[in-house]
Amino acid sequence: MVSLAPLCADQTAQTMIKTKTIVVSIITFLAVYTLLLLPQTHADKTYSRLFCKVGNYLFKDFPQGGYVNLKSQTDKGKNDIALFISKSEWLEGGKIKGVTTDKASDLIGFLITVFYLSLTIATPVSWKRRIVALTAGFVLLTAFVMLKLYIIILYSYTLVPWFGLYQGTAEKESIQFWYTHFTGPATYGYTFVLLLWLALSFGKKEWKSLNTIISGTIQQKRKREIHSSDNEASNFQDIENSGTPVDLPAGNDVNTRL
Amino acid sequence: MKLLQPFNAAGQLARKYPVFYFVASAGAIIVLFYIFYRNPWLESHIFSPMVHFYALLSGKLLTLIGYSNSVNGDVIFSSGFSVGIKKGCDAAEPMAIFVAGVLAFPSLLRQKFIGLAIGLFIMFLLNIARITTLFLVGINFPDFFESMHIAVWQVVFILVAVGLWFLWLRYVLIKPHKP
Repeated sequence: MVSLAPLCADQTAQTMIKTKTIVVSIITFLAVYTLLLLPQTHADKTYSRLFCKVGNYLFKDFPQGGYVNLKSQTDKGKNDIALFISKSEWLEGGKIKGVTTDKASDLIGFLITVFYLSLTIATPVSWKRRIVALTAGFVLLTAFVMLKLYIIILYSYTLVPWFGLYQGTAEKESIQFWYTHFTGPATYGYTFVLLLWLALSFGKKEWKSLNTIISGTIQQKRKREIHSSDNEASNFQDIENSGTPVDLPAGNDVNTRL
Repeated sequence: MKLLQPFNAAGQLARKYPVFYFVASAGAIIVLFYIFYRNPWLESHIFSPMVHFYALLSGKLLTLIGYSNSVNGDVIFSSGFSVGIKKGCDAAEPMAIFVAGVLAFPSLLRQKFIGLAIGLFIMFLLNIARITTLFLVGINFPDFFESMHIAVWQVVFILVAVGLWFLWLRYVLIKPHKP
């Protein structure tokens, strides 16, 4: 909310300091974002392991008797996750037959997580606020990513008829819909991150200042409206009280203007 | 008068809880956008032609800087590399975020119009720059194409949308109003 503060043109010095803060924030964002994306930091591998851990914890025993196992892999380039799906009743002495598909954790969750973390670290608010936003945001974002993974798993089941899971026409259509419109486009994640960042990175103080600014703008707008209607009325009085005859267009009834 | 009651109620709400009203309106505009964005009719009549137009302009720009190419629909072909511009590469989502921010914030219609015209035009130009640079990266550094596409340009666009909104906000708040 730093850039929201300057309300008057004569606050140049203040604005300059604030511009400096904005520049520092942008540089911080770029540095953190680049650093986290560099392969040398292994942030992607750490994320992929975490992704599998959380995914296995939530979806190992999949609804309607499904069995899911996620494993991170390094030999398939960007597709760093092996998603294995089967049925829990087919598990025999540690062996189970099923289908494995390769998935890319960066497209599902890593990139938006890095974006969120960089954005939050670069936000010029107190460190206490940043830590709260980082923790709460990471949890919520992971929940969002897991929801995407849940739909991906459902969709994977619909593609293999011999599992006999999620094969009803209406069920399939609904899963297809959510897969196409929610999980497929990678860009939704960025909008979600933006909303999360707005909600978590700015505390009561910042929202209050925004509240004041918006209220001020609304009041200014109302004043301008009142002022312009007053002006219109006073112009009309001037014409009435001037004593000199004023030519009005034919058929223009002055009173209707009031 | 009864017809105007919802508007009066909205006005009262805006005065009482301005931030909530602003955030809720912006959110509603974004949701509306996604509903329209996924509509098959609008997709074939508005969004697809828009993507083709982007491909055409980017192809022309590439020819201008010395890269011979041909454009067919949403695909730019060349002997070394071809790129398909799909839905999502039309910058519609960052544009929607910007539009939502501008429309939801209480300001004069004239200010909104100026903000939207300039902001959307900048994003339109930026998208042509994006397609062109991605094509050039695809030809010269194919290994970096995916990273540029997903990790760089998507984030740049979201940040540009937010940055433009902040700039517009400064213009709205700082600019002295003539009575």
